[in-house]
Amino acid sequence: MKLLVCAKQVPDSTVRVKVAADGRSVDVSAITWAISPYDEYAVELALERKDQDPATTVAVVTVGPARARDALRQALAMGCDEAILVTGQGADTASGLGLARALAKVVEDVKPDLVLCGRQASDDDQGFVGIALAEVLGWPHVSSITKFAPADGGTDVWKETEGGHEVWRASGPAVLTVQKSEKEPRYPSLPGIMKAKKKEIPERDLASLGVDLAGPALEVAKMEPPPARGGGKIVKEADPAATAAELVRLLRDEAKVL
Amino acid sequence: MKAWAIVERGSSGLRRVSLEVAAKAKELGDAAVLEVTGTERYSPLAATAALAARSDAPDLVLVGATPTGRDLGARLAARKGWAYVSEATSVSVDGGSVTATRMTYAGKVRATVRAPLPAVVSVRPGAFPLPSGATEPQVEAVAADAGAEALAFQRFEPTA
Repeated sequence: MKLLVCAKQVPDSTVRVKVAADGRSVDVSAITWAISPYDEYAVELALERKDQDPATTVAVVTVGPARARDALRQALAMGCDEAILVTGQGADTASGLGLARALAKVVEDVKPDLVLCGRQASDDDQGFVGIALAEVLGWPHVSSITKFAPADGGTDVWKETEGGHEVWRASGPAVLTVQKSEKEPRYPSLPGIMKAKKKEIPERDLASLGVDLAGPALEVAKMEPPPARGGGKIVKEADPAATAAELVRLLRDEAKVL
Repeated sequence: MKAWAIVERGSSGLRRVSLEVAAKAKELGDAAVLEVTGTERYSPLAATAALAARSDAPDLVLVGATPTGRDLGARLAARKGWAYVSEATSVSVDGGSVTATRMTYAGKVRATVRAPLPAVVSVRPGAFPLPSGATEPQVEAVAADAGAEALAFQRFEPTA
């Protein structure tokens, strides 16, 4: 089986993200970059399949600036077999639909059986490109999956929904957006890192893919820190029953959540 | 302005977020409240095909930012070439564009974004508290063809 993972390089989840002086972007001067967490789960799920079936190969692709090569190097060090960097003019200005069209071109070349993406990137948190990629390809998609496994006549996919999982069977190619892997994403091993260093990462020029990068684009008018949370309230009455009664009253009458 | 509110039904009627987006759509303009029917459970391809085939062209589509709403909103926007804004906490329309606020960078930054119309916006539950005395909206059923789905449902596994 051939798997293709689409990954995005984003600010590492542990770094502080600050709004830049222009008030409509983030200050990237002191940012450490990493694979977006949901994309990392997608890499892990793909590699778990490869662990079980050594004939499976895993390719990883990103569309982004030149620094996104580091994210691909990280995916190779985790155990992916090959990586493709799509970069150049337009990589940071393409619309979501434009990015989906670019990724679709790569899918046509790589010819994977399944494409895995994170359910959303942890920068814009839109959750659009993976599903739009399925649309451009004319493939079905399953969003927010936590598992997939070969099944009679195709692949079974576990989709996380409210209260459990729906299991859907794909008899052909599909795009899966990943919610979580069963295990935490693996750390690159030392031999993995050494091997990844030697691997070529072919670069493809975004403009030369011949796709329309335009499309309805979101314009950021303003960025600001999130509103401060209101202070908490401690409910403590004379006895547990009275505390519970007061809590219910507050939830119903003040918070209006009941 | 022509708006669609796409609603979902739970075990006890329309979901609360669906009532919220329906009320908001009515406030913004000429609203159609649409419920996709005809499939036993949500199917991305069947629901998208049914909505995409409608002859009325909305300027704005509101849908609750539920697992189903986010999924359908993105696929429908991609199918029609419309803008898509995910998990909005406020929505306003001005001329040819929609302005929405939403959390980005995993909740570390609040962004105000502008998208051209037509646009699909998924809206966080609770973003627009229901006006008191809001009545159940008139819902129009949009019949989906289950045969449009390429995947086969196997089973539901409840969380233990």
